[in-house]
Parts: sequence; structure tokens; C-alpha cells
Amino acid sequence: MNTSELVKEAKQGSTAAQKCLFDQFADKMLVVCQRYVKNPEDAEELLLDGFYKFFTKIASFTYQGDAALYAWLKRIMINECLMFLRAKNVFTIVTEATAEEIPLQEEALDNLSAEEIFKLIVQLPVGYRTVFNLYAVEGMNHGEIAEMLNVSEGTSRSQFSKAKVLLQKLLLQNDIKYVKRKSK
Amino acid sequence: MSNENPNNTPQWRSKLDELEHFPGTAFNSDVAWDKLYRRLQGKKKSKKMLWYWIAAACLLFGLVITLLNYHKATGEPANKEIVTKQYEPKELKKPSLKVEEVDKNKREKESVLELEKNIIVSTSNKSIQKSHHIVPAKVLTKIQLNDAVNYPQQELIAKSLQIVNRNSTATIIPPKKKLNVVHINELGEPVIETSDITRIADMHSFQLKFGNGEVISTSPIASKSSGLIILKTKPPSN
Repeated sequence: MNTSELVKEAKQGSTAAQKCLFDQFADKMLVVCQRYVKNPEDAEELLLDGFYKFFTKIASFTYQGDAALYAWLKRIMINECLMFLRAKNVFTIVTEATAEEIPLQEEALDNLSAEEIFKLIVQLPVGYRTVFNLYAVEGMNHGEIAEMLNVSEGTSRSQFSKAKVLLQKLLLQNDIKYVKRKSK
Repeated sequence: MSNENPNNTPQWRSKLDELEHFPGTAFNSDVAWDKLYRRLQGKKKSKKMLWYWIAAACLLFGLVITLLNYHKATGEPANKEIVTKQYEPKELKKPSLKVEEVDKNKREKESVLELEKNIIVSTSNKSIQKSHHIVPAKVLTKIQLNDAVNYPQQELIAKSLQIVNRNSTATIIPPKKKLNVVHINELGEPVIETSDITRIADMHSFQLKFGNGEVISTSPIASKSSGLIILKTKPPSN
């Protein structure tokens, strides 16, 4: 049974179809949640919240391909994570007018595996990590991020700059380890 | 660094999207599904329960309205009965008994015929002294049933009927209207009313003396009550 049929049956309330959709997307969505929320238990809870919302609102969803379904589901998960973080009041960040312009060494990131990139992102503090995820991974601009996190655009920029600085430090450390590992 | 995100997706980002498992954590999708399933079922149940509650509330509401209507419908006659029992004077039955007595004295035809319209009850022992129109007892009871406000009037009638039975005469005394009686004493001396209203100051008497010694005097009269002056002549006192 393909995804389109699964969505159709899930709309009609089929538990089997819902289970199939859950099995198909749960792992990927858990990774998304854990990119925003470090604690695995919280991430799992948010995953369930996201799927609960997905299945309760699936009647309003029009299937336009697997990518659209994935994007919609991912958006639900991100919103759940942001709501969770907002509830924890982690976005009370002091606005910094001048943010340092530090280019992101994307080539360095390209040399790393997905798992290594993931581990690097998770090591960032929650404010940096959230802005980095939204800007660099999800592809949003600072205006959108500022609106979503209820902060100023300047704050979003400065948070991203700081995240990049920290990432480069971490990359350097990893690079050293990587060099060491290679030399061995 | 520009605000706009570059469209060209870097390699590391696509790598991150392809990542399906977070390294180092065990995720049991079956356990997670069980939790989710319970939540979804709970929601369905809560929806069902909500409908049950709504239905129960509607039923209760309907029941309450029905009961209220029932009480309204049955409540009024019950009240009427109570009023009748409370205010029904015992003496009301006696006029009919009186009529029976009259019947026994072989004056049925007269009495019954008159009772049907306006009962005229006459004395049984003596000759007919007075005849009064009274309302038949049946009509009275009807009035009592329908209208409890008329109670004082009915009581009055009942009391008068009681008197009738004691004296074995049917005398219902209608309230007499006192009329002012005016006595006109055409003969003799005029009566001067010395009512309380007439003050002494208002009483006047005067004498007229003529040149020949004749004196004309008036008896005291009330200036307000009378306009008649009677003059008396006296022979001159020499």
C-alpha cells in the first residue's frame, strides 16, 4: 500500500493505516525533534504530540506527494518543539545590536558525516541551536525566525553568528581528532 | 552574511535530512505507537462521552419541562378544591333545608317556582310579612368554586340566612339607605333647629319700635339655617 492510500485510509480513521504512517515517519521525525530538544524523553513525548496532532488534523490535509507529506509532518514537529521551548522560556535572549559576521565553513561540514553534524548541532546551547536549526537546516530567514521565536531579527542574527563561532570551534576540535584519527 | 537563505542546499544539510536514527538511543516504535493509540482512542471516547453528556442533559431538560407543565396542569384544580373547603360556609345548605320545610307546609309550588328564578322564602307559621329575593344556594356554591374573592359577600349572605333559620322566617334585610327626613311643620310655630352646627353667635333677635309705641319683636332665629322672619306685635307698654 502506498503513502497516498495510507493517508486516504487514515483520514477515514483506519488504525492500521495510521500505524503504517507512524512506522514510516517516526524515526525521521524523532531525529528532527532531537535536533531541537536534547533530552530524549522530551523528544519522544514531542514526537507523540506531533503525530497526535497529525492524525487529528489529517482530514484537512490534501495529499500532494510524499515530499509534501514529509514537509507537513516535519513542520508540525518543529512547531511542537518550538512550543515546548517557548513554554520553558528559553528564548529570553538579550538582544545584541552588532553581530559579528563570521562565515560558516560549510565545506568543513560537508566533510563530516550526518551523525557527526548532528552531534555538533546538539552540543550547541538551546538558543543558538534553535536559530541554527531554523536558519541553516530548515532554510528560514531571520525575519521568519524572529516572528516564530517572538524575538527581534537582530537577536536571531546574533544568535546565529554565535552558533557559527561555536560550531567552528567544535569543528576545529573535531578536525584535530579527525586528523589524529587519520594519521593513526 | 545576507538575510536571505541561499537556495543551493549544501551537502551537509541533505545528509542531515537523510539521517533516520539518532545515534546512541534506542527508540521502540511499537511502545510509542501504543501510547499514541491510547491517546487517540481516549480522544474518540471523550468525543463519544461528550455526546452522551449532551444527550443526557437534553433528556433531563425535557423531563424538567414536562414535570413543570404537569404540575401547572394539575395544580389549578387542586387549589380550587382547597379554596372551596376553606371558605364554604356550613350555613349555606340551610336555605335549601328551609325550602324543604316550606315544602312540608304545602307551599311547594309557590316557593319552588320562585326559588328557581329568585327564591322567595316566606314564613311558615305566620302570615307572610316580607318577601325577599335571595340567590339560590346552588348558585352560591358555584360562585365560591370559581371565585374565592367573593368570600366576604357570601359570608354576609350566609349570616343573614342563619338568622332566618333561627326565627323560622326568611328575612334578609337589605342594607337600608338612610335618607334625610325633612319635617315640614306647616301648622303651629316654626321649629328652630338648634343644631350643633348653629352657634349662639348666629342667633339673632331684634325689636322694632314704632312711633306710636308699638313694638315688634322677633323670636331668635338662626341666620344661616332660615330666611323666614316672623314678626310678633306687642301692644305698647304704657
